[in-house]
Amino acid sequence: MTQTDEDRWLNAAISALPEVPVPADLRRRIAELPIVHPRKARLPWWSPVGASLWWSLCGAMGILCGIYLDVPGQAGSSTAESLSLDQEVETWDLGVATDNDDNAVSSDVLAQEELFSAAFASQLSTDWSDTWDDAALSDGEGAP
Amino acid sequence: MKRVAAGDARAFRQICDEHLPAILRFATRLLQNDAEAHDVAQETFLKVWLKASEYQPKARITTWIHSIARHLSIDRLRQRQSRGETVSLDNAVDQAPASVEPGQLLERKWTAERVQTAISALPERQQSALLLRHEQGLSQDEIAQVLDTSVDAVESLLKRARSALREQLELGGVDPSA
Repeated sequence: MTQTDEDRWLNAAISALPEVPVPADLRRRIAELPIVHPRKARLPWWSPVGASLWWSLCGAMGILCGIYLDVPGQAGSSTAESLSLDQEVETWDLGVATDNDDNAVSSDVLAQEELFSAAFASQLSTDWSDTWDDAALSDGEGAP
Repeated sequence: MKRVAAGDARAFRQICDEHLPAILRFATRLLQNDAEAHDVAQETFLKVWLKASEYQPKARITTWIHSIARHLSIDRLRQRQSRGETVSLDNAVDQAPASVEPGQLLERKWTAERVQTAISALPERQQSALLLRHEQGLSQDEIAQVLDTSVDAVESLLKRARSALREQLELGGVDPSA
């Protein structure tokens, strides 16, 4: 039997198989797939929205790295909290200097600054050693 | 296909209308179960819709869709095998045209049963190669793409499948050319 005869014989054999009708219900279900399963739009990384998402991600990573590495002066860093009193006073002074150019608001700020500075300086100059109750600290001896 | 990838539902429906009968027939032959074949056809077109952007124009659409349907059918066959289920032929042979005479109908049904049994007895790759070639009308090159193999391997698969099918049918006393 030649290849063509064999092909013909096989085609005849397979054509003996019953037809497979397509049910209308199945056709309808498949036609509705785009409605039932709407496809999520994918943003290419180079698109304006995609790029802005990348920048947001980079920014978030930068903030996280900053917190982790404890960059001085950054919000929440322990270095910022441990600034000395002198540095804080200097910072206040700078603030007063720059606000001088302003009008009513700056005068209020200036007044508050002065009050705060005066109170702060008096606190620093106070000799707190007099206020200690030595008796109360000596294991109860001499307590009333 | 580019339109489908861009989310054009109308283009998707055109592809369904064109390819659904062939895909359903292919799945039905492999699975021999109407309900499962319907599920596979639906899942196939769902994948076509969702993964249209992954389609590479170097293959014909029909080749790509057949490849998806074949993989899904194999998954079903494996699940069935793991459950220890046997395959029923009843679904596949009860759909002869109504215009056929009762005597012819019986003979046709009997022949269809023998042919289906002989095809089912073949290994899955031989079955797929045979059906894709002789029922779906794909070229050897396209079959090689669906089966993810070489053209030489397809030729070899077809040769073995033809030989085994012929042997089975002759043993069963079936002569389709008669």
